[in-house]
Amino acid sequence: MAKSDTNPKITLSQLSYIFIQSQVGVDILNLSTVLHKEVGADGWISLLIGGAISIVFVLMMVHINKCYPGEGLFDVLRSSFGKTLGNVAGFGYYVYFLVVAIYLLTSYGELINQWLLPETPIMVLYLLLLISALYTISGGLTVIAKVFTFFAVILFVISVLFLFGFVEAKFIYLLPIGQASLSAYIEGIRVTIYSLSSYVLLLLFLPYTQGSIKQKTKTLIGTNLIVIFFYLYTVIVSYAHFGSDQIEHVSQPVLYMLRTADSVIITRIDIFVLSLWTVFAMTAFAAYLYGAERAFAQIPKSKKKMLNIYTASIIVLAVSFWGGLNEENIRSIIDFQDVITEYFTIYIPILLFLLSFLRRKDKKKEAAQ
Amino acid sequence: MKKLTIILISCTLILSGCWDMREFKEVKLGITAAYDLTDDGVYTNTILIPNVQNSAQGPGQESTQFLTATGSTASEARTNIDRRLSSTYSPAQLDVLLFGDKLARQDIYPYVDAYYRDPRMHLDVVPVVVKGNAEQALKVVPKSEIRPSEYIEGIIESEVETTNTLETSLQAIGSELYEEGEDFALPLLQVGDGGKTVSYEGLALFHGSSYTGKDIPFGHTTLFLLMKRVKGKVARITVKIFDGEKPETNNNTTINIEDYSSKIKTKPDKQNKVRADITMDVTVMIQEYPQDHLSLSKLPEVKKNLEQALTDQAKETIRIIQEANSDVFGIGRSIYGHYPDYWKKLDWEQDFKNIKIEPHIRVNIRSRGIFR
Amino acid sequence: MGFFKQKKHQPVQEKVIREDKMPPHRSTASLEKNIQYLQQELRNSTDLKIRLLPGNKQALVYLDDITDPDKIQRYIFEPLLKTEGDITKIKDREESKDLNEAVSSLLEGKALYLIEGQSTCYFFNVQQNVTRAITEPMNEKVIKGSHDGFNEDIKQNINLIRRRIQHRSLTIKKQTVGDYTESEIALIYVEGVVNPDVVKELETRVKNISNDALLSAGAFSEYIEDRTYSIFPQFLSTERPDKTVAQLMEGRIAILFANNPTCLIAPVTFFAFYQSPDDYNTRWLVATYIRLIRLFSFILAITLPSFYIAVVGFHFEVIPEDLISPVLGAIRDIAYPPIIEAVMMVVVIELIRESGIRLPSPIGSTIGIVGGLVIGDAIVTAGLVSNLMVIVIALTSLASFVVPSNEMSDSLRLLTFPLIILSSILGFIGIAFGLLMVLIHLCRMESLGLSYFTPIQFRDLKDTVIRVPQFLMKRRPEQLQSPRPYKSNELSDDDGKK
Repeated sequence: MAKSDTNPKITLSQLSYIFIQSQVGVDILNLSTVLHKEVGADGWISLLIGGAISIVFVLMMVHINKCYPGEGLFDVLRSSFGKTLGNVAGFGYYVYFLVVAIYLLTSYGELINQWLLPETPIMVLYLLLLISALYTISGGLTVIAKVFTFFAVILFVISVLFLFGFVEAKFIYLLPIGQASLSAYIEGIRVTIYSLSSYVLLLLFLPYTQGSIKQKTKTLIGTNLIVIFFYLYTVIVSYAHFGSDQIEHVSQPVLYMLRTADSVIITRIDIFVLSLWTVFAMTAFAAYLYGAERAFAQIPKSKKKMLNIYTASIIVLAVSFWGGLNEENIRSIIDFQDVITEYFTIYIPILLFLLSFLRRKDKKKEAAQ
Repeated sequence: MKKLTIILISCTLILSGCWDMREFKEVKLGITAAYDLTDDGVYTNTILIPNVQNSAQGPGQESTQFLTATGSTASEARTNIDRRLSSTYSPAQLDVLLFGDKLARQDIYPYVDAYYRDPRMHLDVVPVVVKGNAEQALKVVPKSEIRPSEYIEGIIESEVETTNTLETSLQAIGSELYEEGEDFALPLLQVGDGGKTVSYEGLALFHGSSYTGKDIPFGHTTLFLLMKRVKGKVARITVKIFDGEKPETNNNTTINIEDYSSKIKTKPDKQNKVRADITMDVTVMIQEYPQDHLSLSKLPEVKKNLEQALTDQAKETIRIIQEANSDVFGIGRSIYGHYPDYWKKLDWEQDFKNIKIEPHIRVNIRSRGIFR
Repeated sequence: MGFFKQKKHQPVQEKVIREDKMPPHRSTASLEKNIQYLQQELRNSTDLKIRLLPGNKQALVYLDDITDPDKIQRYIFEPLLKTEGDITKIKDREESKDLNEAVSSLLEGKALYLIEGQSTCYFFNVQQNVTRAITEPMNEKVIKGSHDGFNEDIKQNINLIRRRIQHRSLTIKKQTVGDYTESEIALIYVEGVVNPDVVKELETRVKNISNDALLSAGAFSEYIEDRTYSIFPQFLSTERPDKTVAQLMEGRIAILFANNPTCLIAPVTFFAFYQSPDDYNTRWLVATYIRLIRLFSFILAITLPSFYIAVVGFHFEVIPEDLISPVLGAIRDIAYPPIIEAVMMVVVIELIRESGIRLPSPIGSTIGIVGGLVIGDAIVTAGLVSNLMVIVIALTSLASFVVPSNEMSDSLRLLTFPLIILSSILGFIGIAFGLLMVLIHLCRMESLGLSYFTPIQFRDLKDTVIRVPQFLMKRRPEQLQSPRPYKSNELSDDDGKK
């Protein structure tokens, strides 16, 4: 375990921007539709519940970081599961991060292909996104932090643009409340947690962040709340705009509602928002690719950082290409992702959290002796 | 790293072409389109394409081109148009969509579906129903207009400003098209003056996605829109407040709505299944009072008569709406939102005609103008 | 990437020894031999004057073109008459027994006095000073504020700075660079304000320069900047002493060059190139407005042509309906695709600009008229370029000239090309990726190890995008990590409260 590179590199505010950017990916564009399909008009309630649960997970992450000070995700895995099992789990995370990265890449390509460039080979979009992500990652943690911080400005610009959706909104569409069944709620909560699941990445960044545990907790909870409210805002806007029947026909409601948003200089704001969305696709993708690179660096103990990224990106590109061939392949990627997401974002974090108490007891014993 | 990046970037650039390039100058943009259904069930699609002549100084002269094509389906008609054009036809900048009333009575959804589906299409299109033949309305090009392509759009826009029609678009009616317990109304046009002009006739009431054949006549639209809480820049209503005065014009007055508030309250009702109360407060200015001598003492009487006249007008409008079975106020959706269990017991298709909708209108005369 | 590197044949080349590092060559007692050596070492240059004094026992040696005859008269011959030929009694002289030192002294403009039978050589400083008057730099004019500027004399330049900062902590470190040219450079900073690590970093970088000749500030910056492959300038160059002093007091380092009026300032941020001394001389609201205009012009300069190409070629949905017929009318009959139009017009503008610079000003303005008006009008009527494209490209180059710094303006104009190409391939998505890459690149860049482009933070916003009143700018820029973060002795928080 090389402790030499654990000196704090990023500030608290940069941590929060990294957290925001890794969460806001392409998913949020169709979150409202997915939620409505599962829970109906109560989607926003299940979003709030899911958000609250995700805060619990964030707190768990901070706690784990507190119990294993200075240790990144893979060190934590090794010290809690033992070396062999920890390495296996580390490899699991490698696969998980890659799968999420692949998912982000394919969904971005799909989005642009559907909306803007139907004729352009999807590979070009993949390549461009990959190159920008690689360019970011190769600068190391500080550059990632800086880039992510810079692009957070766009989130505020876009939130303002979403106000256009209120022009033709009817709040009666948010009613009636409480019509969905319990199982639908659970499904909605699951969707929400998945879309907020980048808290797993926090363990990669927390050890390198300046500030005390208390400060980190405050920052992260605040950040998570901002993200949840942003999601809530988009969900409510799109619910109120489309009503309960049309929304299920629209795949990207937040974009769709901007189709008629005209300004004096230009019409069709959706095209601009879509182009700006490239930024979020890139940052979220870069965050997971960075996770994969870190994971890979742990396994064969190789020191060549860029080589790891190249391997990871070639895998990502190949699988994405395969996925882009037809819808069936994409479906299988998404299904696979759904399966492993459950393990790596819910079960293993909980397990780690529980194990961290054991370790604390160990420490206390040691202190007592 | 650097070399590889450069190689990758240049590869993507060199290997690439301009796949999605659609040059603006090579596209024929339709500005207005009309859909009709002939008697023998053939669809007719007519489009108006403005052609701009290049000129060194200022924007060039505009000439219009009409293309009509028929087909057994809507998309076939469109393809037939494309066949006759030197460059590709693009409806991406379409402003107005005209439906002949015969076609609108059937179902308009198959025609608008493409607009919802294709991200390149313009959703800010105003759908309009034309009494009679839509193609005929499209071809009305008054000489006085500088830009003939914007003639019909101009009519609608000016009517929006005077609160005679609502600002509508495919996007705006989208949710109502799908939503149960909510319907919409579209502007209604008619060709007049022996085919020289097009005039605005009122609002065509829809149920589901088809025209009911009933419409709110021109004089009633302002009050109706105020009840729906839509107001343009100005809202004027002319009503008959007296009886038997001579000459006939003296019976009428024109009021200018300065401020208004309108509320629709719905609740389940034992007698009529559902009861909706439309409470409206309007602050008005008397704009025209042909009788002269509008003294202060006469105001209470004028006010009373005004309230009565407006309520009568509202009732008349509501009668038409219920006859048409077009729930333009969204009463059904409101019931569903607030009383979801009660809603399940209702059969809105049948029940809407029989529910009680009660207008309550209060008038506050703020000013009589500067001439007493 | 070892695959691409093939060992090339290394030519053998003699090593040049710098004048100040020449091994000593002892002078002899023989006047003739000494003179012979000097002649040989100076390659028998014709400007080497050897004046044998009456009796042929003493000789005065100097380089004719760089010495001042008046000074020779005043400092050597007049005192010599007073002391009746005894050179040792004259003050202001240097002595040496090393002939190589004598050579370098001659090159500096000193006169050498040699006596037969003595191995000691005497030097007298009779250098001729050729200086230009202090004038305002042509390319950095301001409306208000001081109108002096640096010139080619490094001493005078340092004088201009010293006069502005009269404090003992103003440090000047001189070094020479270039084995042949031995150009003198001076690193200037205010001790206690500047970050010492940065100074150390800069000094080691300067020390590592190995070159025969160092002639310009631009070449120098290429030796010591962090990213030579970057399109953005990493050193702020100025010829204004007031700008230099303001930057010194922020905690930056200035580098002055002998025989060059340009002063380089490092470390800088991207925003430094958008600041002008004028900003601090006008009302802060006006200055903020102008800063915002400049920022807007930055965005305009790099995106406008690509935006236009993307709109016309890909996304004509975004054109508002009232603009459709004017746009359509303008571009309908143009033969070329928009990208060719754009490149053609950009090249025309660059040609006009480049030809205007070299020519004397009366002809230069004629070129502007011929190029701008005649070609511009003809190219539209001929139908080669649409008049909209002319507007777009003209606006773009206008916007690029708004930048106060000349280098940055050139970088911006170059940057439009990749964006034009990307937008003609992928439309708005291409622009998005292009800007993404540029911004990531900016985030990755460093200036002397400090970040070049910090994300906008509220505190740094005060003197970058906008300019707040002076009393609110209590801190030095965060980027510099100055050991003296506050600008005054009285510490206060950001709002100016104590």
